[in-house]
Amino acid sequence: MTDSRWIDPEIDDIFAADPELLQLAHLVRSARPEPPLDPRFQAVLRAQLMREAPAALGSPTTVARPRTVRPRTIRTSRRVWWRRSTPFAWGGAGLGAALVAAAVLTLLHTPVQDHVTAASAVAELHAVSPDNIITVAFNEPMNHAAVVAGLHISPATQVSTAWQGNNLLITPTHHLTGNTPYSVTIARSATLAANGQLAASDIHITFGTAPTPPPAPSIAQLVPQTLGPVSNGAQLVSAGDGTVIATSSTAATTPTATATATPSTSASPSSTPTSATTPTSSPASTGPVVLPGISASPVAGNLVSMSAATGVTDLGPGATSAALDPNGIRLIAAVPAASGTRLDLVPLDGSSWSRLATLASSVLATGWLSGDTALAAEPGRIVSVDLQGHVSTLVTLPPGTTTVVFSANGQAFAGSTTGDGVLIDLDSLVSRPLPGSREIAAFSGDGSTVAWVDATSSPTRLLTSPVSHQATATVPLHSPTDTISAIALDPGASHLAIVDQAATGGSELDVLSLPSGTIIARGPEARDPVYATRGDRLAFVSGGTAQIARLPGVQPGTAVNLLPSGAATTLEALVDAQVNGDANSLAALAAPGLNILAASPSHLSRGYLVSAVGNADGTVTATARLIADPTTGHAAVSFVDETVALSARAGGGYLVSALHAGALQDEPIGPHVVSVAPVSGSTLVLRVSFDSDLRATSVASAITVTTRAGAPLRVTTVYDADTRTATITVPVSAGTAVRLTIGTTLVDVDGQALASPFTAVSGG
Amino acid sequence: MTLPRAYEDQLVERAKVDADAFGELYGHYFGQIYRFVYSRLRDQDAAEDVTSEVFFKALRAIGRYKPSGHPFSAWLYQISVNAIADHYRAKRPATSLDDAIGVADPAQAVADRVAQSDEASRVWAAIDSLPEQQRTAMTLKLGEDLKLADIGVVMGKSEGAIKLLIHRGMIGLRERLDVTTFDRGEA
Repeated sequence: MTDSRWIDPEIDDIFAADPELLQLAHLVRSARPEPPLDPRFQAVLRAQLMREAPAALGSPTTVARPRTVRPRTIRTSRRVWWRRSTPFAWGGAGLGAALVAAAVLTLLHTPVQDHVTAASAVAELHAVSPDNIITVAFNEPMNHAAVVAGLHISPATQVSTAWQGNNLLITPTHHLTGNTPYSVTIARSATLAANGQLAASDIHITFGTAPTPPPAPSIAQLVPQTLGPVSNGAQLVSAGDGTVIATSSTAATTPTATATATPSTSASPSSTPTSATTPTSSPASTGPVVLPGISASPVAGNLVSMSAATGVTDLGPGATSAALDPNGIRLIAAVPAASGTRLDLVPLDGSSWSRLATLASSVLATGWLSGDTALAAEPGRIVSVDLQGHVSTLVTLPPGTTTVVFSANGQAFAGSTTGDGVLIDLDSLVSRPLPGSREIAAFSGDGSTVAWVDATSSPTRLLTSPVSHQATATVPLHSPTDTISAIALDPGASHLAIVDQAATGGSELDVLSLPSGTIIARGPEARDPVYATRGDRLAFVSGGTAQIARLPGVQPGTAVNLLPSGAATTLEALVDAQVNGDANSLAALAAPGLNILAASPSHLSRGYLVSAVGNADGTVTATARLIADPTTGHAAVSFVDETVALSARAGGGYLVSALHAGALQDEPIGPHVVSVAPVSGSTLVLRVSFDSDLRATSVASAITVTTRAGAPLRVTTVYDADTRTATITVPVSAGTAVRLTIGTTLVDVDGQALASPFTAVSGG
Repeated sequence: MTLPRAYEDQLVERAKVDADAFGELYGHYFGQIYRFVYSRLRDQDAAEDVTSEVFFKALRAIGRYKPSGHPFSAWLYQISVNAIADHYRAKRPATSLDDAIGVADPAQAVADRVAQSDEASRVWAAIDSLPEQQRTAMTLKLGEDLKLADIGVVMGKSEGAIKLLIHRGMIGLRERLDVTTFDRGEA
């Protein structure tokens, strides 16, 4: 092991008389240890010396010692290496890999000029994409290792870094959390330029991310059943028992009519719908005309009823529009005729049709105002038709109207290609525009909520609002650049089905949970989605056939988010209005006597619903977090967790009956819970999202779940680092309310404990 | 690696008034000083503390530095030796002889044991048990390759005195290794 190349005549001379000592000297020399050296140490010491040099070299006897306050939480087995023994004390806290964001150097020394500056395109922005790479541009070539070592991001975020010239590129390992304020800090002592210069102070870059859907659950693939062939452009109407009516079939199929008077075993060109349904008496002015029931097998172009159980039943001549009456027993069908459009009553039991009226023009849509009054929209007006065939004009439509959609409770949407569509109350005839809407809109089955595509924004926005008042909420979209060609709302505004077409050409059917926008199911390329009346099935046209699919995990009449119909929309609207300081919307959402605006903090940047639970008395209790992003003058995130109570509004929907917010306070350091949401399914599964990258091993043990009465439940918790989400499987049915507690033993990747213990009641 | 003497002399003169020149000196000598300090303290934190103190002292005092015909590094080593002494005065070394030497195999020759890396580290640790001046001289010679004359400048002694310190130190090292090994072997 001796170093034969090492020759030191002086050593040879000293030990010339003692070869063993000479050999030992060589061995000692060759075995001299290489000391461990933190590469940052040399750089920081140089920076400190350079800062002191002007004063020291100018006045050698009066060098002022830097005195430094160095809070630090560096995780290392050895002690602080930039600590200086007395009388020296100098800074360098920023080079720790895990410095807290609040680490601030206080240097009490003669000021010297610093030249390093930094800027970032995301600074002070409030809607940065969570997929963004954060770029910090320096004005000088930097010491890469020193800068990266002093980089800290709050909430704790694992990142990779790269350099492009003087630009530091920071790429989050798991993307940023949506709707979250961020602070990127580089301690002054780490802002070390290659020439030894430093920044004048710590570098703080604050920004907020845009709202995004919470971490997506696994997306179920819809498994549709084919019901039968339909014509191109045929409209689907869904009945509650899984029966689907298509306004126009394409061809005869296996005859399965079960409720017809004269069933046939084969399609016959001679048994035309025309011959079977030709009116036999005069039109509306003389009252309804009774037509014979359809007994023929399905005929191409005819109105058909389809179900998996009974097959296809020919109901009569094809229609351009049809609507199921509130009792679910008959249709109002608009059937083209030589003189215009006939409005016929079509019983679903196969009994005889009734002609209500004949309109002179085409019909854009049909609906029902009540069980005994049907609706029809012509290009210029909406008419009502009673069961005696009396036609009355309800409202004149805006010029250029091309699309009309009726709700189940007396509302109508009228849209065109050129201007904002309008929402019309057919009772009061009061209308209001739906901003940005054109031709795509839909009502929830209960009529309480309207959804529409804002075609004026880029990328496309999908919006919802209660019908009763304007409180617009944006549905987060996973692929906002896609084009949405059709939408459908379920009965309780808990789900939304959309047909979206990617710029690359492919289209698909997605089922979203509201208000989160989380995709819960995905189907094939399709058009014209329609919810079954009870909301647990979705019908659509795909590949020239009508199909129907059960929605995984959705029980009839039960919302995935387990909130009563409309409650989620109200909560979302509340938070939006608070953040926007929208006094009118807040007033509209408030129960009598409640002043939400006065109870809300001002200067908010963002907010989100943390948890919500429906109570046995029909009320809803929720927690929302309201946030003021950091500013140049206030580096900390400010927040308040408000509690909200909702009560049912007479006539549908919900009002805020109580709200307590309190004053904003600085957010404590450490990870925070962003949301707690049940996941669809028969067993209760809670998905808890965090704003920070967590130490995975700390998650499960920090989470406990009990019944509301306090009995512990054995749960299984899985943490997904990519989505910063803990999925907790609770061995109770999905409708059971439980109490979730997360303790401060949960820590982020920087070792910071959960900012405060978290408790929420969820799941029922 | 040494700087050309003339260049170094000019650099030192400039460093008395020019921070950049001082920075260049720092860049050149940092490694040597840190290694020397560490080899004497065997504690990274302490080595960083003392090294930083050495250079701050140098920064403060360079205006009074007068070339003596020896390398500038000798002056830095001199400051280092003093700083190390200060450090020891403030805090006695935590490494005991027993801990430093550990258990050796008495059947092996000293040289063979030294040849093993962990044994080598023990040997260097054993040097720490030598009298302070012996180990300083040995470290500067065998660890830093300084000339005897320069070591003399650093330690304020004659070249002959340094030779004697190194010779005695090496004998002491051999004795400690042998005796310690024997004692441990009998224990």
